[in-house]
Amino acid sequence: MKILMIEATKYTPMINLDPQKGVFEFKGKSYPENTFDFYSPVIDWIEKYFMSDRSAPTRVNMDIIYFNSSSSKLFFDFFDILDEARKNGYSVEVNWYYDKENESSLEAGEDFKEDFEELTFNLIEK
Amino acid sequence: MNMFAFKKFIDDEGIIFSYSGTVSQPILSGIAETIEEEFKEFNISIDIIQSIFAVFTEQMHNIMSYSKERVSRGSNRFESPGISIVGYDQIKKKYFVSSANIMDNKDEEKLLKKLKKVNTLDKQELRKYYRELRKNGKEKHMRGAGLGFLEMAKKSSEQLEYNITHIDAERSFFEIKVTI
Repeated sequence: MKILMIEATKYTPMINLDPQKGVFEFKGKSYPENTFDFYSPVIDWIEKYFMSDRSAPTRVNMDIIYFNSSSSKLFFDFFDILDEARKNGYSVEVNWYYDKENESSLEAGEDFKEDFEELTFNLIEK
Repeated sequence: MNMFAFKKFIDDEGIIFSYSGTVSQPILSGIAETIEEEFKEFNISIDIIQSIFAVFTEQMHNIMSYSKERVSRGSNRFESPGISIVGYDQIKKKYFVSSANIMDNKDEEKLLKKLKKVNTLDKQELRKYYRELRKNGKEKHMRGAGLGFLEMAKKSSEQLEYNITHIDAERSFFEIKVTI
């Protein structure tokens, strides 16, 4: 599999999915017009990634300053894929970065953590 | 039109930013980023700026989504698809974000049901209901998760204020005001 790299725009985050390192990175804001269309190549890539044998852990770094409600649904579905992978024996870790001044970002992280209790979900202050 | 009178009206109403017309993603983010930068210079707290940004974004996406559906069905594309306002209420000492758009009368019942439900919930219940709908995807549609009004209510310090005015047998004018 090849690296999937998408540059950031004002309303979409930088996305870097590296299959060799096993690191997924999301950084920036997320409020595209058609959220599901925008993320569909990303979701397809990740689903393929978890179809191959992989013993090394996968680390997901989410540094999202702002996301709208449809991105919130998209992230939920994304974490659901990660949780499924975990159930299938893959080692997955999510790092959710938040700004201490930004209460809603921490709150959002807490809610995702609670939704996926068995997934390793770290809330990390920037 | 007397622009001076228009300016006076804008100032008297506490309007900081207003937009009327076709909304596109670059317009949305251009305005949202400008509001964000300007408010940061005035030392307004990050939570309030984030809330204004979030409500503004949800409302603009609603305008875009409704107007696209309507144009694709052959309705009048020259009618202003939406209005958006960010302002400051001098009496309440609170910011507000309002929007308006033309809607189809057939959507009225569903819309009112949704808004009424949202207004019965307190902050904790909103957070819970938001997570519930996000999980089961019951409100999910082509362009979004159907969580926009809940998101607005989460950011609001008061109940959502809304009104529907019938224009004719098919169309209505929908407006919503969110006080931060």
